[in-house]
Amino acid sequence: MLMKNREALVGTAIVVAFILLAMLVSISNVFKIQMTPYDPIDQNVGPSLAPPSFQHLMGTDVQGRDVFSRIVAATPNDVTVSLAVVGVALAAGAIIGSIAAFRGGLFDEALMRFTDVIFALPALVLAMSIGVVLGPGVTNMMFALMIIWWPPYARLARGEALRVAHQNYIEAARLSGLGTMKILFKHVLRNIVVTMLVYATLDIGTVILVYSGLSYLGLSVRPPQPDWGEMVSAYQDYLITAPWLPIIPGSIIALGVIGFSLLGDGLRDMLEAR
Amino acid sequence: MKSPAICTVRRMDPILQTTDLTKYFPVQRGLNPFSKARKFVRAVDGVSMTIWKGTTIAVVGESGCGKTTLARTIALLTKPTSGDIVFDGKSIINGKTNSKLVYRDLQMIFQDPESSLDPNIKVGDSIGEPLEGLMGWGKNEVKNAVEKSLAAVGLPQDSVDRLPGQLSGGQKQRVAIARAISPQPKLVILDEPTSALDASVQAQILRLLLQLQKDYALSYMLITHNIAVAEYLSDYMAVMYSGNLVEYGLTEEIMAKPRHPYTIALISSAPIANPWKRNLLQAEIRGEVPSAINPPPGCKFNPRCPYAEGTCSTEIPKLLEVSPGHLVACHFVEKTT
Amino acid sequence: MTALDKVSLDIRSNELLAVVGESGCGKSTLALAIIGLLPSPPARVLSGEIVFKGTDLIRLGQANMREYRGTQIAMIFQEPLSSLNPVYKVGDQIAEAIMVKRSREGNARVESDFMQKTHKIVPPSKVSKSFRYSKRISGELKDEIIASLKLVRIPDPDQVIERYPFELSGGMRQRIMIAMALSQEPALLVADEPTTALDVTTQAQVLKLMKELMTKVKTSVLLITHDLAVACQVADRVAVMYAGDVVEASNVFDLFSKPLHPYTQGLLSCLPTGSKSKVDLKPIPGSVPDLRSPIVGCKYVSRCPFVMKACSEKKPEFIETMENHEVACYLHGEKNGPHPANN
Repeated sequence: MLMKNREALVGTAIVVAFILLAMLVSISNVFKIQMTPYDPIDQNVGPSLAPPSFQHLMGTDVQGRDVFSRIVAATPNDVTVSLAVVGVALAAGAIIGSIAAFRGGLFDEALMRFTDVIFALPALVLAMSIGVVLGPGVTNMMFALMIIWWPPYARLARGEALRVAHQNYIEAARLSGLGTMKILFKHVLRNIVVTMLVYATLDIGTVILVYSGLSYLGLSVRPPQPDWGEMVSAYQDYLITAPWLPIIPGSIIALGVIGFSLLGDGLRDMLEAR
Repeated sequence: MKSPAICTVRRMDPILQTTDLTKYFPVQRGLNPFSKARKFVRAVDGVSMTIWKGTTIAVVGESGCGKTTLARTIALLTKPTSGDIVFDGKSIINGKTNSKLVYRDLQMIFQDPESSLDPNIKVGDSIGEPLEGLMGWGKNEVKNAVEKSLAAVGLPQDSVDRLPGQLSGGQKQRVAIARAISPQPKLVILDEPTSALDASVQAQILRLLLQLQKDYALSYMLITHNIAVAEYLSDYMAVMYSGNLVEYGLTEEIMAKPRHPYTIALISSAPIANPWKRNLLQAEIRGEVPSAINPPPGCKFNPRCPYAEGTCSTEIPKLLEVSPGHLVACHFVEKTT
Repeated sequence: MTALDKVSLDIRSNELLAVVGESGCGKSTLALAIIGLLPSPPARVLSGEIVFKGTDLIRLGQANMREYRGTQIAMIFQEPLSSLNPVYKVGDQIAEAIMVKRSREGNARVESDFMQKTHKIVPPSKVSKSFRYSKRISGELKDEIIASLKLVRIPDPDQVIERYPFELSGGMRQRIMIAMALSQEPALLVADEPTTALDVTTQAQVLKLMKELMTKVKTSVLLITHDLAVACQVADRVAVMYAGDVVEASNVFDLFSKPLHPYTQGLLSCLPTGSKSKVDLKPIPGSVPDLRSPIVGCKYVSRCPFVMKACSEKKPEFIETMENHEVACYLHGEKNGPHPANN
């Protein structure tokens, strides 16, 4: 993979850093080892509302919790949710879209109209409803987003699959005795996945934003568990008095989105150059 | 057209015979996906022809004549609307046909070498695909067969691990040929096999096809709009116009003395590589190809035919013998003597 | 990558020169260079001149080239669907071409001054009557449009002018392109594979039309084609190109009866001209060299049956060896070195 594009390299660096950090934190959680300098939910580990310093790299909040530890500890939430949602959307959309394209006829119509209905559902409202019914939580929000995130992928997959369906090698595969399903998995999916991956990479940033939004609305974690979106919400009143408090988590969210967007752009440029 | 191709000359056994083969495509009216189509594109409108074993038949015609649809219907890639196809003595239209068995003996090569191969699959695996799917052979058997196919088409053995993107157009077409002959079929349908290739590459592929025909006792159904290639490669010729067969017979006879007015126009329009024989500037044909949804009544060629009169616009002409083995569908074929 | 390597060609007045070659030989690049439509970057004209009626077109620059393009030098392309604007009716597009011609006629004085001052920048035409598509075509303009459609033998022209390009067949669209090009009465018509996308019978109609109009409008035609048979049918002279070079050029009869360059000979002997029992196709072995790496000497070396030592050392010059017959090969012409096969 020739990522000579400077922006793409920056994007990749950011993305890799985020993912590695998320993995480290998750593993350390499993083994109950504390990776962060302070316990993220421990109060009064430092003075209240202390600005960033050597002991507290990102300062402390009103309850004296170390902001840096909270930020780091919250990494797996956004990273896992965004990757999982896009991953599931990509897989589901690819299969639904390509089957619709190949079966055609009324089957295709029915699947696509179903896709349209799901597409029409507003993310926030649905998530809030699920939040009310099932209760808040990171996993619940992840499921809510998974339910509604796949339609654009199905549409994209269907369009790509239609293009591929007219290629002669598909007909040659039929002449080789392969059935529709076998053709889909052997030939079609592999040839549509590249375009979809480019879209998916750019999409991850959007999921991060939407999830952070849900978290801001309080639908995700229960305090005192840390989460970036929740931190923006909790700290927003301190914008004047302790500006680092809302700005830092907001910037981290933005950084995550930028990282994935740069990576996605780089992939798209690479694809178009081919 | 109801009558099958009546040939008083029986040369050898037929490998494939179609009887009144028809393929209509429904035209959807409006947005309602449930509405029954009232109009149809008559792509293939009752074609009866015979392909004799070990020979090459060129099905020639221009865009919209239905030759590609005919090829795809015979290859069972699309279901015929009506009519019969008898391949190697057995009808392959009925529901009991196992297409996998048919494809062991019937294969196809396509026009565009770029889209004939999956860009993500290695050449060796592409060539082996029909062997895995149709014969159910194991890895070693497939490997040996692929080696043989590559040698037969003149490609080096190290091509096995290459991806199509690393090959030229001519090489890709050779891979497609290798894939088609690997199950050792009896009939190969060639859909414009050299139209997308340069002249020098075309010559290489044509020679290869002739060689393979001798080595493997193949029958070829060549679909083309290029008269020069048709004349070179084929023993028999079938001329199609707007879904119908208008002339059928030995290539040599048809090239020397075409009888159907459309065939005459077609052959005289084909550019000859000879500056002293400027046929092109004498060719005269007026009008456009008729609509496939609303064809003109009677003979479909009648609006453009210089000899049309009377029954031409009311009755569809049947394919009848004008000389042994030479069939023409024209009411006034004596005018072209 | 050198797409064109010191190509020298003449086109005489009222003649049809066919440039024949396979894909990648540079024939389309040549056509675009003549009409000044090479996409640059990435293309760049490094050296040479294109002299049209005494003026070097390369020195002109885009603004001045516009005076020539479409008026003195017209061009038609292979795919007529992308040459015609799909959202405007056909009649409107022809009207636009005619209006452009009329506006230039008003500048006749400017043009003749300009022809003498080829190295100075002349401000673009001040009289620019842009055609507004919202206006209905009527009267004199409509008659002129119908006349130009009749000239290219389009049936029912008064209905055709109301049609959109996608409603017409490929042959009709190509004929409309010819009508638009010839309405300018250009001195040179560059046609890049104009019939490749058409059916055989339509191709015959279009080529026949082009030849007839050539004599009526007194235009020269530069016909780019990969089909040597088409060239044999309509050309007065033929130039054969290989990998960016012109390797042979002569009148069509001499080229066919006495092909000098081994590539021309190879090309002629790989055309199917009869049944397999009578014709022995001799394909040219090998393939076109990769132009991305520079090649010393003659580019045909890897495939030539007569290759000599001199061939890989220095590229043979393109010289006239017989009357009106030019070739670039060490086998022919004294200038290229002594050889027993020289005349």
